[in-house]
Amino acid sequence: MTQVLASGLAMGCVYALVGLSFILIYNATHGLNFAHGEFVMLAGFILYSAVDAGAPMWLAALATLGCMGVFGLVFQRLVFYPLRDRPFLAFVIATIGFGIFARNLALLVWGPNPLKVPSFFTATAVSLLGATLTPEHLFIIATTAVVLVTQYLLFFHTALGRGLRATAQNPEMAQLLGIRQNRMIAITFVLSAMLAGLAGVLVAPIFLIDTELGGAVILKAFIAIIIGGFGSIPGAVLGGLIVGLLEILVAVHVSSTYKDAIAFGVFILVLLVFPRGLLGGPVEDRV
Amino acid sequence: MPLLQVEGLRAGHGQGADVLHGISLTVAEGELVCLIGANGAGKTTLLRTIMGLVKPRAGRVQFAGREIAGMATASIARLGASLVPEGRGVFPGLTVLDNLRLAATPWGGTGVALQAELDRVFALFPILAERRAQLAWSLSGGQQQMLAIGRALVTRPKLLLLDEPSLGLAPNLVEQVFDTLAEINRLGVSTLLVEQNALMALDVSHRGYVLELGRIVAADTAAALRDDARVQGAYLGG
Ligand SMILES: Nc1ncnc2c1ncn2[C@@H]1O[C@H](COP(=O)(O)OP(=O)(O)OP(=O)(O)O)[C@@H](O)[C@H]1O
Ligand SMILES: [Mg+2]
Repeated sequence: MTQVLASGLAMGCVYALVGLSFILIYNATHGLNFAHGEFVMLAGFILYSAVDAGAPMWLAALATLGCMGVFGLVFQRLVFYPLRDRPFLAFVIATIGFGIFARNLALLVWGPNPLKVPSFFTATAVSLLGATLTPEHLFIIATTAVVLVTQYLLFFHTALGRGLRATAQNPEMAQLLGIRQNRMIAITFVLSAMLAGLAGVLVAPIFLIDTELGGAVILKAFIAIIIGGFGSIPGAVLGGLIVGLLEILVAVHVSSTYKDAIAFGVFILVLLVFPRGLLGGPVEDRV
Repeated sequence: MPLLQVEGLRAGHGQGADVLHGISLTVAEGELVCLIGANGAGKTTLLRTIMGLVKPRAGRVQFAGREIAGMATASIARLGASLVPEGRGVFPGLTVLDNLRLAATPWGGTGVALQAELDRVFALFPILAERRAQLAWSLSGGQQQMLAIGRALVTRPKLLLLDEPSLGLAPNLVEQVFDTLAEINRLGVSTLLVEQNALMALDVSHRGYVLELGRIVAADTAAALRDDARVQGAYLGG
């Protein structure tokens, strides 16, 4: 049972990272990045290439995160920035287009066959409190916890974090206080791409890497975001954990064939009871 | 050369017709100047154009010896112009303290220097000190206005621009806000005050301008404007 919970929590952490990184961009720009799943996919492929080039796993992971940061900046410059004053839908469509482009590019570069990266660990099982757990799952949970705490500190205890939150809440007023909006948005994209990339790095060893890697994760992350309350970062995290746990519990105890259908059922139920999601506060919280 | 010099400024919204039809005005170092005018005269548009939120179509805006027409808003703010916008613009989901700390961005203030600015604001508005840990949306309208003004002071402005700070406040609070603005000005902050509440605005100002449909129709000392028959008829209720 502990094993099952750990694996559910681990997947939940991945959904949480993807969901919250998606929401970072949404809060800062009101843009919906429909290429976000491809961010995760791209990180998986970059990780594979780094390992393939002979880098040890930890170095490959760091290199991937670095690449994703740069990628976030480039994405911001090429996809977001030119459309920043256009209607909402322009960016959405551009990201959908970019997603298709990225998947096809990946197909060209890395081929259609699913790729495998080694585990971060040599051990296949660790004992903790009498239970036998997969080190990979514990690693995902621990890494996510550290990242969430770091992000909280960044957002709530640094000047940069205040600037990021202010820009998300009222970009015009932030500029009136001398905060450079474009810089804040660029930083947001870098952070977001790195967090999505981290999710990719964390799942790559337990999944196979192919062009569907992002799609598998992003759908659950969307459900997590909506269950948690659209726009709420704690909500995205809570929603992610719920979806991860629910998915595994249903698969183990009910039916693994229908786990997605049942997850959707619960999703609809939550929305019926909490139309704004679990942590979807009053509108003033964000706007 | 005055601190702010606007000459022949034209501006409008989007593709729309001009809202400002060639505005010229100045604010000298240390002055408190008010701009009065009816609904829709273009007061807000003028302040927003000075701050670069609306792009000027023609004319010049010089501030602290630099041409700022066409500059990015954040750069204008960093030169020392601070706008308290209509509706106050506090960050609702940030604490009172974070709202204030953020405002040190133009001069990169931290540590002791920032704390000194915060203490000055708290001395001016003790209620903000009491509520420093509260989220800004939970403040009353009057407290939000104090926060907005206090926040503008933390930017260490050379020029403070205020867009109808009395709007939506109870009469006793309005008086308090105007007293505070006069006090801030006495401490050396040049101020451009936009108001519909003409009488009170003229009471605290050195000079005033009257804006009608995007044109300056009168400019004089505050005392002279108060006695001007046209101004009395239109803005001072007879
Ligand atoms: N964002 C906008 N888009 C289009 N037109 C606008 C916009 N804001 C203001 N206007 C128009 O510009 C003109 C001047 O408006 P402005 O808000 O500058 O007046 P104001 O003097 O500040 O009025 P008030 O006393 O109501 O605040 C009005 O005709 C208004 O309809
Ligand atoms: Mg106005």
